Amino acid sequence: MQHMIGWVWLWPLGVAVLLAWPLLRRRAMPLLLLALLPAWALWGLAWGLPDLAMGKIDQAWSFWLLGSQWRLDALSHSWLGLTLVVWTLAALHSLVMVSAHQARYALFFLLSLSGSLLWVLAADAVSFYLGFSLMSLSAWGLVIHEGSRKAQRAGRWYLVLALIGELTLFVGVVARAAETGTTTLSEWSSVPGADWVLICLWLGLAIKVGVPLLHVWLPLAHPAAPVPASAVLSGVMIKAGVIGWWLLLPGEVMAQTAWPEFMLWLGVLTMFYGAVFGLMQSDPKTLLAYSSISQMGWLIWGLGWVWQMGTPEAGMLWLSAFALHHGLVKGGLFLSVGWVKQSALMAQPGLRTATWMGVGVLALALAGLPLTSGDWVKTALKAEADNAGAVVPSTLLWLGGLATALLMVRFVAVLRDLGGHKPTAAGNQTLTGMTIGVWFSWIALVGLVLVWPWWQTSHWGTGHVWSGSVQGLASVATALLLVWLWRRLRWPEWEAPPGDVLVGYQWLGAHAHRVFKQRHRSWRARKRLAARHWRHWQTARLLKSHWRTRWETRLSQWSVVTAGLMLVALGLVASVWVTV
Amino acid sequence: MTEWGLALLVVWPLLWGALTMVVPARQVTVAGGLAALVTAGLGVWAVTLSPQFLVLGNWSTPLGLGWRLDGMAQSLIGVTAVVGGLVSVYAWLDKGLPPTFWGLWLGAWGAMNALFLTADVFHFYVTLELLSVASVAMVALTPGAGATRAAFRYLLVSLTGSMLFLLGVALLYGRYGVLDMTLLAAQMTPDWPSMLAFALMTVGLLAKTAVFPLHGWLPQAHAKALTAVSAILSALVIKAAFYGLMRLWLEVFGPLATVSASWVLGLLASAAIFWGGYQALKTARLKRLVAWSTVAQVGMLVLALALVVQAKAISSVPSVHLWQGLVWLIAVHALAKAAWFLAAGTVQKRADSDYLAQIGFALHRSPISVVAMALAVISLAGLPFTMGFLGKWWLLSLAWELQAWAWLLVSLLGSLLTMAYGWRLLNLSLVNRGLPQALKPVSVARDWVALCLALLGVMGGFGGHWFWEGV
Amino acid sequence: MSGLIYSLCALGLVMIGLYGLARAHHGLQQLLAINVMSAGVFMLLLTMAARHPPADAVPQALVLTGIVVAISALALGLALLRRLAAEEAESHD
Repeated sequence: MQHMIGWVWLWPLGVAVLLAWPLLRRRAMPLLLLALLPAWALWGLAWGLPDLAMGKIDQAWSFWLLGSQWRLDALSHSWLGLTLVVWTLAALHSLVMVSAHQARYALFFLLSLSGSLLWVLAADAVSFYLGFSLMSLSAWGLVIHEGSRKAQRAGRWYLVLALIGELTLFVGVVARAAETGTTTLSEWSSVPGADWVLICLWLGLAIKVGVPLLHVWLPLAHPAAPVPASAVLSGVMIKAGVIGWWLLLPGEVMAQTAWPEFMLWLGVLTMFYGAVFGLMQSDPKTLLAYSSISQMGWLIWGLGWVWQMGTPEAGMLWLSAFALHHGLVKGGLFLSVGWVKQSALMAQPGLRTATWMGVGVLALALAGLPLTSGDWVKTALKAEADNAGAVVPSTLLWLGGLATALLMVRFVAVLRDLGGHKPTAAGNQTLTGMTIGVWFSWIALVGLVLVWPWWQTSHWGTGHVWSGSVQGLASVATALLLVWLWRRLRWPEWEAPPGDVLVGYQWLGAHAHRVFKQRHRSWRARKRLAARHWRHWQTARLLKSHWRTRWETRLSQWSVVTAGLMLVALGLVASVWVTV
Repeated sequence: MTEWGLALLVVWPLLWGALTMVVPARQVTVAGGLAALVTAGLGVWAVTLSPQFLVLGNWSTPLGLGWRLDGMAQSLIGVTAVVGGLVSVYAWLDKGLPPTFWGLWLGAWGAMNALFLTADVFHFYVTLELLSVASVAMVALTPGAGATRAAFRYLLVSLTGSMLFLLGVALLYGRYGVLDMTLLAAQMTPDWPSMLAFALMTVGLLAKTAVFPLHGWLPQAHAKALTAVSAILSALVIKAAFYGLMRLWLEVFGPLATVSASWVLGLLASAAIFWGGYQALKTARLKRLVAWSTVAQVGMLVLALALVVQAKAISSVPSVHLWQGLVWLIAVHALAKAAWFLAAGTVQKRADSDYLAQIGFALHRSPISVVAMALAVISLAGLPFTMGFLGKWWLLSLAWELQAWAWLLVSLLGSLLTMAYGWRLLNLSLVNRGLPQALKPVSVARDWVALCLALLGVMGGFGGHWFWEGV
Repeated sequence: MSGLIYSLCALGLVMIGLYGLARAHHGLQQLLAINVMSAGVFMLLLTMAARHPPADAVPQALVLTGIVVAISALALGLALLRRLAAEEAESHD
């Protein structure tokens, strides 16, 4: 059992190596399922173990990197469950929804999966960082998979921000390791750190979470990827940031700092920010991406009051429940976009109705209708937050829930526009048994979303799914009413480009570039004039080329090289002379 | 016995290098290749020996020569053996190499082994010069005036550097009357002749290591050379000169290598990182890109050396793992750069073009080479799962210990630049792949050699623990 | 005293060589400049040998080795220059 943990995430890498075999490269998709088997085995085996309930199952490999440790405790078991469900569904859907460049897709999928499993199980900072960056960077291959101009742009922004995040996080991890003298995460949680170290760690992960202003890549990348990959991006990967905050920042001593309050308000801000810009989108996947940002607001807010508590682990269990709820529902919603686009499926009236019912269930669960996981989790979170003494007024939170409900109504409307028109090309596409099978797996996910809270409450023995409050019902009803009014009164519908403030960044970038170029041009003109004046033909000739080439040519001139030799030597002599 | 074995480490490649000149042209590849593999085996064997000091032929110093096999020398010999062996395999597979290549390459290898072993500054000069002559001749193997010009330029810089180095040696001998490195280190006092020697020898080696602003010869020479030659020059020959810098700064000139002197190194290194990175980001040609990346990565090595010098000068910092970290970075760069150059050469051959705009399709059809390049890039940038990651970890923790924020920032930006220019190639192969075109047939085995080198750079992460205990 | 004069002359030769290297327009000039430099270095070494009455044998051995090394490098340089001239003549035709 112990010895399995390390292999769970290495296994997908091994499967990726199999892709070198051309025969398997042609039938790469089933390999994705194969890669998940050991992880499922671990999850299942750990299920009833007393070790898990009591604390953890550990494993350490001292020979690997700086010595790695993994653990499986109640929290990581729950994250592992979420990871496995969403990745498995994505793997299944890849069978029918991804047809081009399958080998390449499989390679990036497997690498990313491996990273994802690694950070879930990591008990030391290096392993977490490795898993986190392996997952993020390999996901770039999934984002650009379609190869369209849109996907390329998304990939570029994704990579730029992911790399900045990586490096910031890396600095933070190294600095924190130097500060605490260890890389074991459990020892990090109780040692206060220097402010800038914590800021580095926070910032590196905030990019993944999609904190407003750092979120610009998210509405581009999540929709650009193929449907199953979007499900994973929004369902699992985005959670890595929040869980990273929990694991890497010293949660037990945060209560004395200003961090909890900052996180509370940032969370509320994120809820509204994501919802407002999400409402201005007309592409269903972009809208879902914004909804993910908005939902991350709940987790950010949650982490705020969890840090205020005396025993943060207890609160963290509820946040994990929320993460599970959101992961399942959002994964299902992204996949539903793929099904609505599947014209052969939608041509069958029975399947069509069932699909729409599934969409409805998922949307209502996210919107927080009573008796769904959404309402149950949110009510519980609010109660826990009150216990912890969080300062955010509950009206704001209710408004946050209303925003989500509005977003979901808008999502269904947009999706209906997409799949509403009668399928025309249905004749070209036949409905295969495989497609139906995968469709059933999606229906099973919808079922899981419905059943899961009931099971969880009985398992934990905490309260009922029916919270007794009507807040969820009220927000859904208000949302429907508002939308109805909006349409009735023909109020204008605003649109925002995906990535909202990204436009501003680009404008700034272009402007800076222009200013730089102008100055550059005038400098060149001046130099050219001077050159003509002095009839210095060599300089004039050099000026025609780019400054990069020009300076390199200058640096390579023998007189410059010799002068460089002498100058460096003089500098060395002087530097030694001043100190000795 | 050991003494004979170590002598063989130098004599065997030199002897076979000479012999290949008289072997009939058709058998040269076999003879040279086998000799190279035996040399690699000898190198690996030398790593397993215990550290020792040998006096050659029982001539006592100062007239005799001392050889010293310590950890630093062993690591470098080992790296050279592994990388050199694999590059030899690649050269064996490359039918386009002229037969003279083997003589020159074996000569260069013998010179490098002698250079790593020697404990005498003058002998160091001789081996360095031998290595330069062989390297210059290897660059000149490429037909065409461009390569000859690049080789000539390389020779001039190299000769100038050697002369300055020799001037330093003369000053040292005049001042201390000994040439042995350990004896010099024991007597070293910071006075004018020593300072002058320090500056001259350092500058000479900086020119040979191609540190900004003395880097001008490198992109031309490395980009113009034949593929196997580029890999040897970038991965190994540069490191031999850098090894000299390590010996001088960390050992011979101990009391002179002060914090302020390390600032000079650090500034040059930062300039190299940015200038090399920027050029690599903008250049239109494939091998140029890789060569410019060498300029930037050499900057990274020199930056690390500057940090180590600082750590040694400030006694409060524990001085464990200082040279080990440097050697680790050298190994990272040697493996990654050899892999990258070999993969790039294969792709270039297939596309029959060196322009990035024209190789998209060839990249697309060489997935193994693309994977090799991608692994090399992530190892150089210090991303996870690679040897480079551990190297970067070591570098950043050292910078943190020293509170050297500026250098920390520079090395991070260097990583970012590395990713950026590496991404250019990856993007070409995945997204902008260009129109289908007829490709030249090139054996897939050559792609695999590059991949082997790149994978070794990744697997190094597994071997990290013996090296890094206690870091 | 004479030792100091010789040493200064040697350094002067090195400086002249460096200056020549910086200002030379042709490869041959550059090679010759390096030769002047090496002459300076060897002169310095010999001065070191002759400082005390029984002449020190070590620097003499060093100079001999150095000359051999320098000659071989110079030969390579000349060969390269010839090839360059031939190749450029070919491309001009």
